[in-house]
Amino acid sequence: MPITRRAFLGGMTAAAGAAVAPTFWAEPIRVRPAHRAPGPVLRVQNAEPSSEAQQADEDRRAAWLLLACMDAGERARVADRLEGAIASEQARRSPLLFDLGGERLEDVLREESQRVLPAWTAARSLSATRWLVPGTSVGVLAQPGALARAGDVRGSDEGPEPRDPWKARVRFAAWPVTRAVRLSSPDRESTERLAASLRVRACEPASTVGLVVGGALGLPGVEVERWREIGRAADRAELSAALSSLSVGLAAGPPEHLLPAWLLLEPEDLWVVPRMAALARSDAFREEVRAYG
Amino acid sequence: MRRRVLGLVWAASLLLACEGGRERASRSDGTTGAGPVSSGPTIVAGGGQVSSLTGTWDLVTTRATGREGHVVIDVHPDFLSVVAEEHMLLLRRSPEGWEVHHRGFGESWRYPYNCDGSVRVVRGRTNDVTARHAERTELDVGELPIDLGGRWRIAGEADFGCDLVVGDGAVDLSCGHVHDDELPWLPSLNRRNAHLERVRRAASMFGDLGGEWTYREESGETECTLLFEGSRMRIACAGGRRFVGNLDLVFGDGVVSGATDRGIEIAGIRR
Repeated sequence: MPITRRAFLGGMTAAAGAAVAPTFWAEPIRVRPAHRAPGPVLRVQNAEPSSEAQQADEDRRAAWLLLACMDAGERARVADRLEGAIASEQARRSPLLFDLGGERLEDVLREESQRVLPAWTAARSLSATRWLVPGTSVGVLAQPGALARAGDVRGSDEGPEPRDPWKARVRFAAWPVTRAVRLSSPDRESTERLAASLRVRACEPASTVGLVVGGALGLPGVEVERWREIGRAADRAELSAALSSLSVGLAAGPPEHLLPAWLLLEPEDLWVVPRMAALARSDAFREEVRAYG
Repeated sequence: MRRRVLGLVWAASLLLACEGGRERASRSDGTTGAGPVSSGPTIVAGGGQVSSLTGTWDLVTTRATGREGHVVIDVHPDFLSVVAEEHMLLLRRSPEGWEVHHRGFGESWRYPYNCDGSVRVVRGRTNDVTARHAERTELDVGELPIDLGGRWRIAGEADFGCDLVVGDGAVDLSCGHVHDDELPWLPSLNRRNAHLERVRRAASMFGDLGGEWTYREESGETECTLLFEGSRMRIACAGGRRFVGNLDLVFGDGVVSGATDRGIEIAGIRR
């Protein structure tokens, strides 16, 4: 068949697009370039209940991971609203000031935490030191693939092997590992653009995307201080216990390591975690990542 | 069929109720109560049909301002149970229909349900109801292993009772006196008549239930829309004092997940 000019140009455009487009692995743990570290594996062991200190540490890491992975505009909007509520709260407590119908901080925190629930759930699950296999007292730890040993469960499906119900439950428990996808772009700029695009999409109520991890995760120092101050002010506001742990985590500032040790990301990599509410819709999640990535 | 629709509403609202109940219990006894629960008893399936929903399901729920919750649902042709910490609902097939036992809803029992292979009352008051399948009609409910079609008489104490007629495309519910306080996870049924009607057909894993349904009470207080399409189930209620909001669930291959509009995410897997 003769190659027409139009077909040639179309082919070149497609080839260029493919070169720029991110590499997509439907099963990120199994399919991974050999020159990179192997993906995480899952290790099953008896689960010790988390101590309060561990739980607080996980909450703190989750809170800062959530902020780092939020769309910047959305993060600024939430901060503005919280600061407004904090000012109202202070006015209400002061005998010298009047509050002209401002929002209550507890209400704003509840409302915003509901709005970001899918990302918050994903951040909390990603930050957990272990996941409990539902219906058991057995825990699952993720380990860098390089530390794999006999008995570990691969994060990916078995492929042509028959489905093993136990392994399926182990993988289900560790869904931030097993249901996530890794995207890799040719350079950091592309990674940032991709992350920004997916994070905007993740704000949509109908999205299946929970959290987009990777890219430049560090918040600017000014923003860190702003959020720490929000945490401190919220901590002074005598919130309910659940919200109190969140405010304490923010007030403490970002942890040294934002990402769990098992998640080894190259600068060009993104780790896209689905919403927990979309775990039965893996195909839709992958399609959405493809479409918006 | 109508009964199946109500059964689904019931099971779905239980998910919401379990969460709500957990929060209530947390406030009353000062504990959050999060943690694993005993798995349900193993019941060998009898005369009913075995479907893809048959089995033991472990569900995890999460909310923005709380820890994870755990719910175990056993679905068998002769047995259905929902156990969520201090809440328990148990349906067992009987020659006449189904025996329904529920405890913990509106109360705050701690682990009233001991699982050692049998079901037994540990402490506290049980709320028992008999659902008598007075007249059976053929109704395809797809993956649900429960026969619903026909006329039902649901009765508990002497002054309690509802009549239910489940047909193809319509369900009628007529209740006398009902102790509402013990059923906070359902729209108020006390001296109410309600009607469910399919307004659009759709292919669904739930057979003849497939499509869009409306639920209206004669009093006009609560209105709901139910959707069964493909592997998706959606319930949206408005106007009532107790059961309002949306619940979306999607079933996959041995997994289920979804969310409510009140800030709860749900995911589960079959053992």
